[in-house]
Amino acid sequence: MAEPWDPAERERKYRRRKKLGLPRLISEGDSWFDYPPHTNVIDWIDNTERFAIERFEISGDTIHNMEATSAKVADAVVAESPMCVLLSAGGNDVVEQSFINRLFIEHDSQLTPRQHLDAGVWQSKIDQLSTDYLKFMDDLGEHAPIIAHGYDYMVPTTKGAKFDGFRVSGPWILPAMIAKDITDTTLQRAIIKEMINDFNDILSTMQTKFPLHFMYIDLRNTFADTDWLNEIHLKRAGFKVVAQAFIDAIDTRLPAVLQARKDAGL
Amino acid sequence: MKRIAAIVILFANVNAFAQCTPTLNDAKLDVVSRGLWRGIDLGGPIFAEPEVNVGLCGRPVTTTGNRGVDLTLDAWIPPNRDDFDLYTVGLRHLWYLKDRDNFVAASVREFHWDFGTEPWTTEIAIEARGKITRESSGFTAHPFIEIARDLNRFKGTYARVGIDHEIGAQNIPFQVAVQLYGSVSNYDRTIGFHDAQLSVWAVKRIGSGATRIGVGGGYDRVARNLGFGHSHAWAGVRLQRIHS
Repeated sequence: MAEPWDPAERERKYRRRKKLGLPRLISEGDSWFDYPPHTNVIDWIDNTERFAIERFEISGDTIHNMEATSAKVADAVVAESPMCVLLSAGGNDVVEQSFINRLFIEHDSQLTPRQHLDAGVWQSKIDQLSTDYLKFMDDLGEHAPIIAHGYDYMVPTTKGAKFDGFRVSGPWILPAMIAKDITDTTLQRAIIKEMINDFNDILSTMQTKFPLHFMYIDLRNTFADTDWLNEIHLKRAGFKVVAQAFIDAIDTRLPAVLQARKDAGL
Repeated sequence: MKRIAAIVILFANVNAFAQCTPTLNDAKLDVVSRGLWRGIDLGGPIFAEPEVNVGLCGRPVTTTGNRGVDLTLDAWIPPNRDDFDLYTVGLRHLWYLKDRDNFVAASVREFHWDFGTEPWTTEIAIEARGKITRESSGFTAHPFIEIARDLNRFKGTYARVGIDHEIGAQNIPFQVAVQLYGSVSNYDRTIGFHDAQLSVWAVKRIGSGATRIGVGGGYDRVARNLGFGHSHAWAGVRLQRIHS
């Protein structure tokens, strides 16, 4: 039996479950949906065997790239008529090295956590994330609602992502902080909190403005430090919690959104 | 041939527990430099080893219930008629445990081996397969154990324990599969030696990934270099089609 990251295995599952008449979903995203070493969010949803999920996610992907290549997902949404599109995006836009290395201000005990973020650099990232999320929603939202998750307050650590014992990427945030002499863990966490709140604000605002097109799952204060595998990935049990949050959204919130879309003629 | 037909007919009628139809899962052709089967040296220097797997629910990805049935046809075919060819057809019933990575299964297999006075033999087998993960290092592997009892030719038992490990990712067009196993048997004194084998296949996915080509190799170490048991290194090429 092929591994869950195998693209042919994913395609096979989708086709056979679709043939069985299971509700269709489309997923697009990054490593939260495509983390090869262990069961990720979509794997967990898939394991319920309730849905036929056509999967487009690629670990390491950014919302900026997903927006640029959204045509293939949009084509699939039109062709497959899924209940909704599941989306995980934004984390890699923030931790990409060329950006994160410019983000922090040299440590100064007189500055607040927010003031340790270079305001111009951070605002440009917020603008980019907002624009790309909006464009992605514009490309797809007319055909199916999107369900996206925010991030919880991640913990800066020295741990990166490992495959077969070899570190392949990361850590992402801590080295950039250390380079600016931000060594106090309380301050590090407070800065992360500001960033995560801003990111969640983007998604929350989109949900408020476009309730027929965009649904948002707030994961803040969901996970303990021990739930994190490394700086930006949860352990498999944590991914299962996120998967359940998506399933809850599909079961409890999506029907009303679909009905409202129908009433609105979408 | 009647035995094979009986198994295929049985397979086609095992649908009492689900509304599933037989579906081709995988087809594979390995061409290898040595025909090796359970520590028995079938010959060389070239062997074709085709394998076709058809699923009836359960394996590997259909959805209904916690059980599945599959049918596997495989063969070891030498172009050199002095070597020994071997054909098998097996019907397997799987019971999935907590998920589809963990199961136990019972099989009945028919073997045709153009060797000796009794070309046909029947085998019954049980097997178990699981999944182990080491989260902190990103390691996943699948240990397995198989015990098979030959009812006619050898009237003996073969047991194998091993581990499968596959390395890859959705966005990388290559993947590597590694298998290590050790086996023991009490077949005839001159064949069926205990053996251990390490094999590695590197496979490139073509297009959507359903078609694959690969190269591989391995080393099969038998307990004693006697009779039909010889230690061999081997290499091969693979063409595989995963059906969706």
